[in-house]
Amino acid sequence: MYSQEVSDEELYEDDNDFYDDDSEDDVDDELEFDTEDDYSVNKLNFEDEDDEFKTTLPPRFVHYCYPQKFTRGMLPTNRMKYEPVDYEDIELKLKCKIGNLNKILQIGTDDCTVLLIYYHWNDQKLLEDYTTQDTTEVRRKAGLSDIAGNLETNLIQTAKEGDMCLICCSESTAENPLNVFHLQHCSHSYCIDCYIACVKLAAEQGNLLINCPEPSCKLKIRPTELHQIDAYNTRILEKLEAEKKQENDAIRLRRLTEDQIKVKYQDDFDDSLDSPDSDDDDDDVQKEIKDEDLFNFHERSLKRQRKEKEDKRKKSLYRNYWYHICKNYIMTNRKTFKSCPAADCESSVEYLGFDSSNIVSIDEYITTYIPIVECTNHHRFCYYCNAEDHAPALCFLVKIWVQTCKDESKTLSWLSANTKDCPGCQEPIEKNGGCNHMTCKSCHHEFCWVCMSDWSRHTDNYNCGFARDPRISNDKEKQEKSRASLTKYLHFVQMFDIHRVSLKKDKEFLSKLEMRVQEIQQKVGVSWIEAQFYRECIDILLKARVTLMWSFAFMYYMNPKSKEIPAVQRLQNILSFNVETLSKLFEVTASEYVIQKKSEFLTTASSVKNHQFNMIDKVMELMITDKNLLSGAL
Amino acid sequence: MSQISTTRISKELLKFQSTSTLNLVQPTDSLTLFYVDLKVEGNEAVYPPDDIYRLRFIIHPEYPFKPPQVQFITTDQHTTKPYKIPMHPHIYSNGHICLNILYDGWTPANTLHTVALSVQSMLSGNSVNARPEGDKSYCSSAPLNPLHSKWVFDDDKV
Repeated sequence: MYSQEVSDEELYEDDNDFYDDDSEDDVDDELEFDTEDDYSVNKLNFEDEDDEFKTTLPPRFVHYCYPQKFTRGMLPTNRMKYEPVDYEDIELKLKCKIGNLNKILQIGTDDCTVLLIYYHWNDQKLLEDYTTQDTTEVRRKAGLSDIAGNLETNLIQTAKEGDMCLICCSESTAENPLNVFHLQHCSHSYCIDCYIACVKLAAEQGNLLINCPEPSCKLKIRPTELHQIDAYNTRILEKLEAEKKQENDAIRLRRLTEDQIKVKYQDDFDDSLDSPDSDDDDDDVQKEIKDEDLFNFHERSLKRQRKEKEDKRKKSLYRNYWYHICKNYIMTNRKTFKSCPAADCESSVEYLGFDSSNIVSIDEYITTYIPIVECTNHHRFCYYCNAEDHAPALCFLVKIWVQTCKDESKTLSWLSANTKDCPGCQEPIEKNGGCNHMTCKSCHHEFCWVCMSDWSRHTDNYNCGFARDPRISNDKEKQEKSRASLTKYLHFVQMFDIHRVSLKKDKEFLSKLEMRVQEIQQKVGVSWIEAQFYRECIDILLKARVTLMWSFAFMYYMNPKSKEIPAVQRLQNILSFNVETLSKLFEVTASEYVIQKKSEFLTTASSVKNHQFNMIDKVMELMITDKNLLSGAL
Repeated sequence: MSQISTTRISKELLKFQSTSTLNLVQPTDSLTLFYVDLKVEGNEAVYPPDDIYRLRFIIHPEYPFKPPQVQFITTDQHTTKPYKIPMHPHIYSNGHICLNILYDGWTPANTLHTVALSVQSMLSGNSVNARPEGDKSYCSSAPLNPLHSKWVFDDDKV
């Protein structure tokens, strides 16, 4: 057990830096490379079943929600283990399960796939049923025929003359023969176009296992059968595309000749006529870029990638089939998988337990720690509450903080601390100066601010001789208390808000700046890798801002008697100072000089990163040692 | 309407001639609206032998790749007398039928004739003279088109 842990650590954390992007990136790169590699192997040897359904998985790269085993004060930490996964990783994992099951049952990967989907991937239960119960019955329930084994024949055939497809009612003729398809073990054949439409319809209806279209037939389409349909479908799509392309080419050719004619004639005119034209083109390009400015580069490329994948998937029925299987697998295994909450991100995180046996459940874990995880696309979020990164505030603090900010009760307590109800009409009144002689604006009732009784009894504007009622003085004490808590709340909410707004502004500003740097990089000819430091610095700044922001929520709930408050405040101040320095650096550096100022950016960013870690580390230590730390929240 | 729908429906309609307990009524010349008058035989305990129920089919333009809208009706602009909605634990009093082949279970290999036959057999095999649970609350909030309801098929005995 222990040696296992050590090997994991060695794999992942050899550096003492918090959020060490370099080492993280290394691991991620390797991970991506691995999966991509396997994936391409799958594609290349698609026909070869043994390669598609491997029986061993590539080694896991365990990540930790907190990078180190000990805090700086040498206190041991408990960490949640996780692995960021893509749909491709899940597909690989599920295919491995299929391969392993086939090793035992020897009934072909096709049948294994259908059985496993039917059993919701519970291979233990499936094996038990398959070996102890009537095999044909188990197979029949899952929608398989009595004959086991993979498909080896081609199921797309040409129909005899006079045969009719029962769906579209078109007849096969000698000149126009129909291509028909039926499952290997049933004889319900329909023309291939209708079969494709049926498969698409079933997928739209959300069925993972697709039935034979005949209502009385209970057989399911198996992967290789689907693969045959898909191959046909792809051929047709490609043919259509080629035809379309030909048509377009023909049109372009026609235009080109027209243009050529124009050019020929324009050669006689002055060249200056051409220049405004080209300028117009440039403007168009710039406009396009401006519209996209709202997203930063990373998100933009993510979106593009996703769209490409989606287009690819839509073309292939077989890929779509696996996509839905993987999606369903994540949805149905919510205890171990969490999908990334970021928009346009299809990555998820798999929960792998904790690195020590002291902690059993996630509910226990979140009372002291914050399970912040990072998906394959580097979106950081909380595994427990699915919100964005909120360290160093604990999950329950976030919940009550958000509630408090939303709550009208705080407005009410402001009213109770600063206003009194007019004794005449009960309208709340705020005293903004002047003497104790009040005249209500709505009912013109005159009263004393101190004792709230009729003003007619009073003679002195500044001294009230009647404020001796113990009930009234009690009220005053309450008011003092609520006023004090209100001031405290207002202070923290303001600080929180300042950083929230800065975060938003920084995000907007930086994404625009990044865009410009990308342009410069292209113009000057700096390699993409060389300009990456800029992205990293932006990342560090934004992450540190998040930490800073939530540290104020944390402070609000800290026990006011705790001796550590000044220490936390000091760390907060240093972090705040560093963050502002970096932010300023971004602001004043003109995009042309960014590359030259590389070292300055890197030193400032690393100092920000360091102080951010100090902050989180300190809070973590406090949480571990002082159980009464958050009495302010209870 | 697509070419496939028209050819298919004109072929499907011929099938109704062979069944005496299903009477096809085509109120207009268009191929999008049909009625089937339906008799239940051999189940006098729940359905009196003289009762005729009217099933309405509205065909989707993409039929048969999209399911038709099927429900029992009492009256509409093409009927002369009011019809009854048959009592059944899966048929709501607004005429909506809870039958999976009409919704999620629809496949293009189903036809109007097979749908009418399934509804008929659903009635003749039924011995419970009652409406589904929650009939009132469903009918008060149900959409006009039963295809827009969210159906859960949990009971495959009746």
